[in-house]
Amino acid sequence: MKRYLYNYQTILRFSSPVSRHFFRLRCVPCENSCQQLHKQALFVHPSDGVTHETDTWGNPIQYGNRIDPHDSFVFVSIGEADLSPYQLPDKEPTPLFLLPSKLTTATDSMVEIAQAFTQKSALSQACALSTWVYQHMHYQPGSTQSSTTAAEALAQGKGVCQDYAHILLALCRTAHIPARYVNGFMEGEGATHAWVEVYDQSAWWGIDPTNNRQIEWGYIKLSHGRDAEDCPVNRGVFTGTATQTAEIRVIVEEL
Amino acid sequence: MDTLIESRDTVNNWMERFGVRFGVYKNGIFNEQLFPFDAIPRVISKEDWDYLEKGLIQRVDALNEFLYDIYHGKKIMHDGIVPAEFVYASKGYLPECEGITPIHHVYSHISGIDLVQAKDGRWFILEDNLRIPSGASYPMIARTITRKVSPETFQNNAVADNRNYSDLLREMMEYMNDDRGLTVILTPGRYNSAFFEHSYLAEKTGATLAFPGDLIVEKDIVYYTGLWKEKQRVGCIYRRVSDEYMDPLVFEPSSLLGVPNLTQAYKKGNVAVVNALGNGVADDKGIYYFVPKMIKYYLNEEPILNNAPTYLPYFEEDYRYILDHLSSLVIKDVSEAGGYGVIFGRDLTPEKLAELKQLIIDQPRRWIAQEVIDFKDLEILEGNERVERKADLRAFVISGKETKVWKSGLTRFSRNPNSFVVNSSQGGGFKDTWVMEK
Repeated sequence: MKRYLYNYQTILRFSSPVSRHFFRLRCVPCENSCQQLHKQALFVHPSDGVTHETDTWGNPIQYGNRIDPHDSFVFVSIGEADLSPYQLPDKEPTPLFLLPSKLTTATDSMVEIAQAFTQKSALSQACALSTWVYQHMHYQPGSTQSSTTAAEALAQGKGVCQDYAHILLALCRTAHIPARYVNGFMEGEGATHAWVEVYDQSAWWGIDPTNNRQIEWGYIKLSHGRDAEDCPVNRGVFTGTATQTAEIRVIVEEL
Repeated sequence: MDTLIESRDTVNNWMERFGVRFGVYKNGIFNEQLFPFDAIPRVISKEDWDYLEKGLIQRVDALNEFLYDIYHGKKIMHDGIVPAEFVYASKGYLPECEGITPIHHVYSHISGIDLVQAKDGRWFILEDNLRIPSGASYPMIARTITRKVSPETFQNNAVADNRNYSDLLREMMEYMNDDRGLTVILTPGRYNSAFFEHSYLAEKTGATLAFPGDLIVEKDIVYYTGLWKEKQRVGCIYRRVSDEYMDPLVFEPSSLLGVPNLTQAYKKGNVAVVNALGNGVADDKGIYYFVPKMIKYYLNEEPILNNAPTYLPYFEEDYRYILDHLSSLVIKDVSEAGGYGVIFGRDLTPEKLAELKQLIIDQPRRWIAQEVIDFKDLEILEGNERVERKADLRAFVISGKETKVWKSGLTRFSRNPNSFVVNSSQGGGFKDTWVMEK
């Protein structure tokens, strides 16, 4: 077991005051057999109260609202997480992680690619597909948006961690490997990160296609879903004509 | 009845004054049109009705059991009655509703079940509408007007009064509300095709008509905010907004029609949502095939009402049959509604038929095929002449403390003599539906 400190903060600034602001966050790490929280705290400001619950995928969510006008919105999630090597036992995954989702529908060419890889186990096949994604994609911040699909990102050959994860998900599901999208923090990465979990031999294993590796240490998981739309770190709506800018910081350090 | 028929124009004028309209979007442009009323009623005998009533209650009860099962134990899939891929691939299946138990376990509070009668008198179910079936207001208002212009018609004929639809609705909504607070009808607004109906039903049931923005969720409680920003707790929402627009923080993020964080209040049982979220999985055209099997599975009864003979390309045997008999079948795209995506094999040129065949081969899960039913045509007035046209019947089933069928329904007919599609979005008209008391 290793202990990690995490410190996540987002500051949203609005160009003019907004009101009736409703939010639904997933910024507190989840707990599972290889990740327990030793300490955790969440600050949301301004807010009229925050409720902690879990969503349909079992992810912790933090939601609430701020009715009165405000021109900034800050949320800070800090704590210490105890991690074991990445492996999450699960008896029977839902068939939904085998089906294409809105952002991970495979194209004909992706089906061909997935078919070209046959390895002994689902995990080794997924790792081979991850290498393929890593080799065929160029990491370029700003080249895609949150709504970019796997097919669009692959066609332009560039993207960010979310796109790498979506392409790997599309390939794995085409190859009949249950796979899910994961949001979280990574040691040494200043923003939130996205990776993939694949199911093999009664457990979920972590694969990070952006860095082309199977995950062992240093990744703190927030949430998972079929694709990025199922588990955004922050989703909100408000009344007002403001434009917003976001400043996000993440620090993860082994203690 | 003759005085009623003579007064057809008076009735249509009254309806125009009442604003009985139906909005249609065509090529992106919104047009409101009158929903033409035909004065010759469809008459259903007491004997036929007693049979339909039993069959409809049985069917809706089974569909409600199915919805509870799909979002909880999933027994029907584990037992192999309904293949899991039909459920999970259905657009109407919402993973976000897993484990949520609606108040009193009711999912489909208002079910619109579409039937047709064949020439030999047999009735067939065409489709189930368990999301937000519309149309009940038209026969309600038509009856109100026809009783005024031709009162003797209703003295001389033992027609069941259908003006009690609002009582059925109110009774059900009060049961779901459980004295938590206000009952509201949530409308997407003035530019919705059924806005007339939303406002009419609110007026008739005494519910508050709420527009997007009127409802707010704070700490898992839903409030109605009125003109002066005072807040009143809401106990029941009869929503006329589709699932995907109901909560922008959970479903379609760009929705301006929904209520942020409503899903959480609903999940905690603090508000009844009528109809429940996620019902689309049970009225999917691909799931329709399995409804008779559901009736046997959940109720251990033989289905009283039959489906139109249906084939699923998913099953090998049906797949062969469909490809061999395509020109005599009607093919439906399971993802479309409102009379769109319905193709009659006999209307297609050989090239188009081959194209359709290829579509079915490529995406077998997307289509169902049905035998064309020899409809019993109904007489309508075209000018002063009586002509026969295709018609269907939408029966309304209300599930509250008990399951009840409204003694009337929406009879829609096709104005085009060659058309089998009677949907009001496709420009058809409607008739009053008389259920006889003896």
